[in-house]
Amino acid sequence: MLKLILKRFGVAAATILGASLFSFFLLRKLPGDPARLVGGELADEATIASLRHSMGLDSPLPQQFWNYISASFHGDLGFSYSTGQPVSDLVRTRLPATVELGVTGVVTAVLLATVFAAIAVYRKKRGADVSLRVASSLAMGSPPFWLALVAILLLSVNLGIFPGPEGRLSPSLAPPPTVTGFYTVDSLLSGQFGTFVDAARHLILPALTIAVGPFAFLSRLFRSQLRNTMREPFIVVARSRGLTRGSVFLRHAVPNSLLSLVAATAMLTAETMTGSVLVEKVFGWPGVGSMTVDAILQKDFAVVQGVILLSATLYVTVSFLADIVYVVVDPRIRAGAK
Amino acid sequence: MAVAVAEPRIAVARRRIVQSDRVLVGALAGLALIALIVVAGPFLWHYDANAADLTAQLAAPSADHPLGTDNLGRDLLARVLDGARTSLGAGAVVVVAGAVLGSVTGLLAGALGGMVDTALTWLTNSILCFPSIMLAMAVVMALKPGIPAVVIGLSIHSFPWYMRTIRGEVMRIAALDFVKSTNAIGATQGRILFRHIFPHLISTIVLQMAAVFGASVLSLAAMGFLGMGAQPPTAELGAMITEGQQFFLTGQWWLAAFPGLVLLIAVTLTTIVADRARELLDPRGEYIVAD
Repeated sequence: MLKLILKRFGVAAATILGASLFSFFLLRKLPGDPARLVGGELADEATIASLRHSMGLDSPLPQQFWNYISASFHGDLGFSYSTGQPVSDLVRTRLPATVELGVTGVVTAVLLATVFAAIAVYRKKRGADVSLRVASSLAMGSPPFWLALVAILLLSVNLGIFPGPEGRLSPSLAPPPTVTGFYTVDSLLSGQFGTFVDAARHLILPALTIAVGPFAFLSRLFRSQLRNTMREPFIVVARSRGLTRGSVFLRHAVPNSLLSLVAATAMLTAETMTGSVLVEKVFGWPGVGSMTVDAILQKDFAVVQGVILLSATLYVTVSFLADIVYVVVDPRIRAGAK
Repeated sequence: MAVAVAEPRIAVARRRIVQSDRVLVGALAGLALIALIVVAGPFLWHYDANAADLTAQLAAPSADHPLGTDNLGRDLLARVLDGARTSLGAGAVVVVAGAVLGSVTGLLAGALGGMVDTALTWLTNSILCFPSIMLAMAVVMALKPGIPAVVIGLSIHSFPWYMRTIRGEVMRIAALDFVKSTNAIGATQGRILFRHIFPHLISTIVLQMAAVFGASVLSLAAMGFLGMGAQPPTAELGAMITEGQQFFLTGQWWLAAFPGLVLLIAVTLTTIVADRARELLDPRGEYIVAD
């Protein structure tokens, strides 16, 4: 088992290295000189040359890559010239907003998908199943940024149920004292109940928009997994011993099918990063996604590189952990590896 | 049943589609209709997508302008037709580019194994840990904003999916008896690969293409929405939603609503087709098992 985990770890490390190599060389192909972008149009040649030297741009490419990798191990992701701050500081202030949004979205998606898929498979009438398939097809086909706009128009502007696209809190409120960086958690910790309600109301619509794509994917997966499990011999055996259909379903079929969701949920972390770029933009959510969009439009390559490295690392780490969960939980995989 | 066994899988699937799967037939017909309208658009509708009419700015949908007009008085129906052509056309380019690149690398990895396989698997794993939009944005930054950069980025992101499935299929099929016997009667490696293994991969590739198409069209629109894809005045559905965004909340809902609706319909139909086709063609799918 340890050997298997070590092997998976090696693959994960090699993947992150590959991803950083890829992004490094892609962004070094940037037209225009990063030193010129930092120094501005009017800087003279000597200034540019010294900037190039201080940014390490005059050393050979492999050397630059090595410097970049070893610095990022120390948490140094470079310097953002458009905001005048270190990239790691920028990411640190922005990340909690994205994580709060992403986690709420993915958890909502997992809950809705398992409940609705279970109902669709359990009910013998086809109505529930057909409606789930229609709903998930539509969810799969809808552009998230467009859905966000429609939701704002209908639910915020016309009905006034939710606040408009103004970020994480109403402009009149001050953020709660930072403990976790999640406004909903921090406001509860400091006992500011009014702030909690406001933060939660701002969170619901963006989180639901983010949940749409993952919901479509997970509900399909869980539905087909459940249907396959229900055909397994051990289900027939359990039924033949006199267990009711309901108890076989809840106590045997559902737990055995849930495992398949682990890897998919891990994979969806990357998807959610993608989704959050757009949804953050629409809702004015001050997270990593909207920062990345601004950085790209301003050619702030250090920020883009940092975010890319971060999201690749996140993705690889989460899928590595999912692999480990399988190895630990499912004896069949351990047996297969021997 | 003896007859059904002798019948090729594709033929069984075709027979069953026409007989029983009304949803699939309906979705295919819908897609065909969209394709027809999009291709024939300029002949069907007399307005020009880029002709500004400053006397008819932000007009609501009417008989003359069925989908209304935008802030420059351009006819929205003409722009939606144009935009759909751009979006769906660029999506098709991504699908084909990814399929070609993915098939070649998948065949190489599956057939050669060893170092080539290890290197290609490493490369594709490294690519797959980027979200598709992140990768497209990085390419946009390295080149310049516009549809070509986005298409390149999305093609790079889509080919690993083909490569993975094809690699697995090549390895599975290469171990089957009929390949061994072809080898025994003296066929060359290249002949086995292209004449005997490749035909079995076509359904896999087509299924993958259908799945990639919907995702690519949405990603393209997303990039257009972020201002990194199609540049004005090119009509593209995602960029049109951005243009309509500022008017959306002030009452001119049609500007952003219709392009999004077209995206929704086209991608949903593709998803349905991809889903149903997978159930029919995938030997592990439920229809085939139930047979």
